[in-house]
Amino acid sequence: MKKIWKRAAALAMAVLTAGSVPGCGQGDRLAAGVNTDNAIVTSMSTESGSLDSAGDSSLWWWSYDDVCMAPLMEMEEDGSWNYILAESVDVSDDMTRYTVHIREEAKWNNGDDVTSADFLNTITRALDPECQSGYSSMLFVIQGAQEMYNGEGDVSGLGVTCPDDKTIVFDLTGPCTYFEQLFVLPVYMPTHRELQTETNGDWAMGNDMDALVSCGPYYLAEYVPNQYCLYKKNESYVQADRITTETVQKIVMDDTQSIINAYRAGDLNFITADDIVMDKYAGSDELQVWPSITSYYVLFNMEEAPFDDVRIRQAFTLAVNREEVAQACGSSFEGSGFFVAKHLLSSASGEDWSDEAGEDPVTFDPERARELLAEAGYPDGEGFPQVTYKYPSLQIDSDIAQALQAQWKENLGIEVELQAQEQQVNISTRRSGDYQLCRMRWTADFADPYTFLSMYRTGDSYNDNNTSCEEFDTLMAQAGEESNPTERFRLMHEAEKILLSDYCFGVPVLNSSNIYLVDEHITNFELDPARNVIRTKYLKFTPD
Amino acid sequence: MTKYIIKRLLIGVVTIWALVTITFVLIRIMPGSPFEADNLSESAIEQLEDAYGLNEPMWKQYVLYMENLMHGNLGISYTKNVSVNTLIARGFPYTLSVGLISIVVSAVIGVPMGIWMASTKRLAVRNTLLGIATLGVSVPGFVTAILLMMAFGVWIPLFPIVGLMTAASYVLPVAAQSFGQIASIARLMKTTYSEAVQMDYVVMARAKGLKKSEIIFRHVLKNALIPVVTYLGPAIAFLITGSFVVESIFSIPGIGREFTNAISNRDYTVVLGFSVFIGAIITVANLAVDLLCSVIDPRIRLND
Repeated sequence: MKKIWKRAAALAMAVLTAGSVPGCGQGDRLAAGVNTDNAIVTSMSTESGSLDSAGDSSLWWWSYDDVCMAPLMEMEEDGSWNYILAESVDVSDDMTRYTVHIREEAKWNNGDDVTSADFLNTITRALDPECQSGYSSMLFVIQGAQEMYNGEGDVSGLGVTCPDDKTIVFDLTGPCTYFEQLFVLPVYMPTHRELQTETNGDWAMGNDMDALVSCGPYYLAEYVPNQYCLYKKNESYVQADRITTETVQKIVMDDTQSIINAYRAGDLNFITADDIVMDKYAGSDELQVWPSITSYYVLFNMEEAPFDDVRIRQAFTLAVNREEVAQACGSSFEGSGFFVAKHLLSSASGEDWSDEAGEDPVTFDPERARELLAEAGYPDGEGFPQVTYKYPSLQIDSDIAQALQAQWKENLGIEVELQAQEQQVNISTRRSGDYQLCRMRWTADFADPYTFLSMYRTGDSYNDNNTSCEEFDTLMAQAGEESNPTERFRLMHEAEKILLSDYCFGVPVLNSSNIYLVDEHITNFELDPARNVIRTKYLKFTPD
Repeated sequence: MTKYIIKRLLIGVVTIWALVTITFVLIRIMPGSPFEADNLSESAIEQLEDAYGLNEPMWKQYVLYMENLMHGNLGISYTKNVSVNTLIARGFPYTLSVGLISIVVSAVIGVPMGIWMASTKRLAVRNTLLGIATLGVSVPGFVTAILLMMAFGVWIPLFPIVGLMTAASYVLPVAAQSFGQIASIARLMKTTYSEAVQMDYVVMARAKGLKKSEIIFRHVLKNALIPVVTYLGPAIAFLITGSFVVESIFSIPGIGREFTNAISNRDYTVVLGFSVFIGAIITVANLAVDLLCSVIDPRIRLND
């Protein structure tokens, strides 16, 4: 306690005495005196969770992943594969066995080899529920993984074997065409087999830099909790020649307006912004906008009247003019009649999901909506019971709520009551089923429609409104076993259409965008096709 | 005096106990759980709640928490994997340094401004000062903070607006925190000063031909300052426990920002730990002010 007062007094004194010193030129404006030549300075949200790939990996982990992680392979913007730690992957004909060969030259930045044991280290730890990994279920395609997670099996039954230091074999429960897509998730990243074995340990909190070794493009060189992470280029990275920027600094900032102001003041040179900058920077080279792989939709509670009647659900879906809703929310939003994000890249055709589908699963058809509502016994919405739409009290969700309310009022004659909830309360509400209409949002974890569609299979743990559609389940099971990509995507398009238009589990509304402001010195924007976010590691800094 | 202090401290302990108990109950009544992030499955959440003892009956959790609290252990954050004690030790120096500077600045500007307002005979000066003071009390803190940031950080880039890395970084957050306080102190000072100058003993002192400075410092100020010092107690507590808004806007790594994040993440132990800590500071600050008042004015008896 004494120490705190001493430190604070010292800080205060230092400031009071230094107050008379002028000079706050561009040089010392930048945090911690980073050399602005060849440095990307950006923001990150307050640290949550840990940097352990097998542990509680949330926002902080993803921010670290953005510059420090090296997956076996990752997809390039055009849909082709970039083999990073893996040299090659052999897939058995029935697609149930994947043999991965790790590059000989793959090394940690302390000089140790990256070996198969490093990958196994992450996987076995992530299958202990107490590790708090939110991605454990992404391992369940591997034989014995789910059993191990549920405490019914151990590592001897796990379908991951390491015949030698540079080879890993994955035996899967069934054919899985999207298995390689999963390699970008935390649970498939290597953690050092000797230094990084303690789940969420000191090393994973940035307190033990000797143990927090990296085999990726950058390593964490300096970390001040709640203030910033400073990353430096890792010369031993297998693709080090592709990395051109020496330093990346991520400063902890939570307030979007403050982040934008800091960018305008020149303190940051690359930021993630939101819709408020769209008008101000329209036409400017500094503005970079990419459609994100995020869907906003409304869930029905199908276990209670009135939404237990499929005709009413369909009426609510058909009565929404999605273009108008998107317009009300801002120019970076796009109306979507799909559940899967429209711009998700299809690995079968190389097209966007929506272009590949040809037609929207659901459209705007107020006539048909009114007919369905009349059939269900509520002509022009007369006598329709009071229903409430619950949503998180964020700006975008309030905009969506009001626009939807107007659509339902205008096209069905139904006045839906709106109820904004604090974000955690809304999650809790959604999980417990205490709603009639509830806002939901999903961002892809990996570049395959499966990340969306699998959630609403009967009994899936993310299936918050207990969707149970036999035809959909059958199609998804078929798609799961299909090894021909084109046929698999056809099945998934069909499954989505049934889920949305026949069964009608919810109302698709819109897709958002990833919005960036980028200083003119920075170029080379490469996107991660799973989420359409800019990969900071490839950004190039060109001094004047 | 000693008896009085002990009595006040005991009351403080009871206050903090009540604070802990109420916070403990309230935060658990709030819907949501520290593990209910978007990504964890239902079964994983259950297992985690088991591991952290959150499935135990509430009274058991309460007893355990109180036991740990007695040993000065505030528990471990659910979302950050570090102890609450560490979080406080990490953030408090920043909050405290901004707070201390703000208090000094507020008092140093507020008191003379109040006196000036009360004693000037030029109507224009008085009205201008009064206008500034009224503005200061009525404009909400976050508006001041954002305006200051835009004006002196973005349009005229004089000062840094991110974090507390250099001495110059303190200027805007301190200004934002002090603005309202200066106004309140100045208004209070003006009132008490105007009253004090009209007192008989001041007239008497003047009649005796004392020096003007002696009258002001020995007779007027000594009496006029009492309400201001009383006001400073809660103000100090308010300032050094951190302004949530100012810390969030200027990205200051203090406890205010940590506290708000903990509430939205339902990080039970952090919310409780910070409540106890802030509660203790407020109790001590109030006690200190009462003691200070008795030093300035010996007529104030502390024994009863």
